[in-house]
Amino acid sequence: MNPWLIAAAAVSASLVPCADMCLRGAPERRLVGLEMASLIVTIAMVLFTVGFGRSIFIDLPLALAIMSFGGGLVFARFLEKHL
Amino acid sequence: MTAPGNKAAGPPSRHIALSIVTILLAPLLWLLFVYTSNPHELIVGVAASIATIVFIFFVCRSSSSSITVRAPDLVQGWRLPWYIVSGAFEITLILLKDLLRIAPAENLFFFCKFDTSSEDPVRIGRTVLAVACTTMAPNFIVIGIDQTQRRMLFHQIAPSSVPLMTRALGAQP
Repeated sequence: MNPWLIAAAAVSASLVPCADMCLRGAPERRLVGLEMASLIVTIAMVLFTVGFGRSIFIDLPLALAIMSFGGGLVFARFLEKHL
Repeated sequence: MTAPGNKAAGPPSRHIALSIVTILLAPLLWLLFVYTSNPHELIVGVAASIATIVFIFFVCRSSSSSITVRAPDLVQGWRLPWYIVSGAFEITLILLKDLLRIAPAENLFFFCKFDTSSEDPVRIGRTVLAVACTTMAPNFIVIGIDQTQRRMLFHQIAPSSVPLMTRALGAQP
């Protein structure tokens, strides 16, 4: 266990309220939860990558950051049609 | 949005230039990121490059208006890291309060004036940047910008002022 892994575990713990947000309420609220969760998962994956010393896996959070950004925009465009 | 069957508008020379840049850049970027010359990686790289070129071609073909993104507008993104960090902190607090039933998270829609246009390429570029950059902040989701009424509709779970970056791109709160 090193400081990176402890930080990653702490960051991952903040996924619990995001999950709660994603599972209840209006679609817009859920989208906020999803965006927040993708941000947290990206940070957690970077911390895990450094913590385990496997820098090759840094591609995963990089790809997730780009894909989740695009996904958030698509969801926002989709919600616009239902407002 | 473009009507189906709408052919490429905008200057064809720009589309050709963009296609050439994509054809050159896509394989180079793949090699740069993958940083290996293993045959199996190169095969995947060729497929990814072809897919990128095809997507860019279809985007150019279906685009009904030209977009000009100016450097001063692009530079406005320097504030983004702070908005992401502060927004993440705000939302975490609100989510925790909501989870612990201290205070329910709100579901707020706001709109403000936005200086946009369907004709001016610079304003179209600013609109695209405003939607993309502002939505990156977790507490600020741009639902859409109405070009006819010149209004921006956005969603928040904690009320806050319109970011300076978005104001610089045309928002008028």
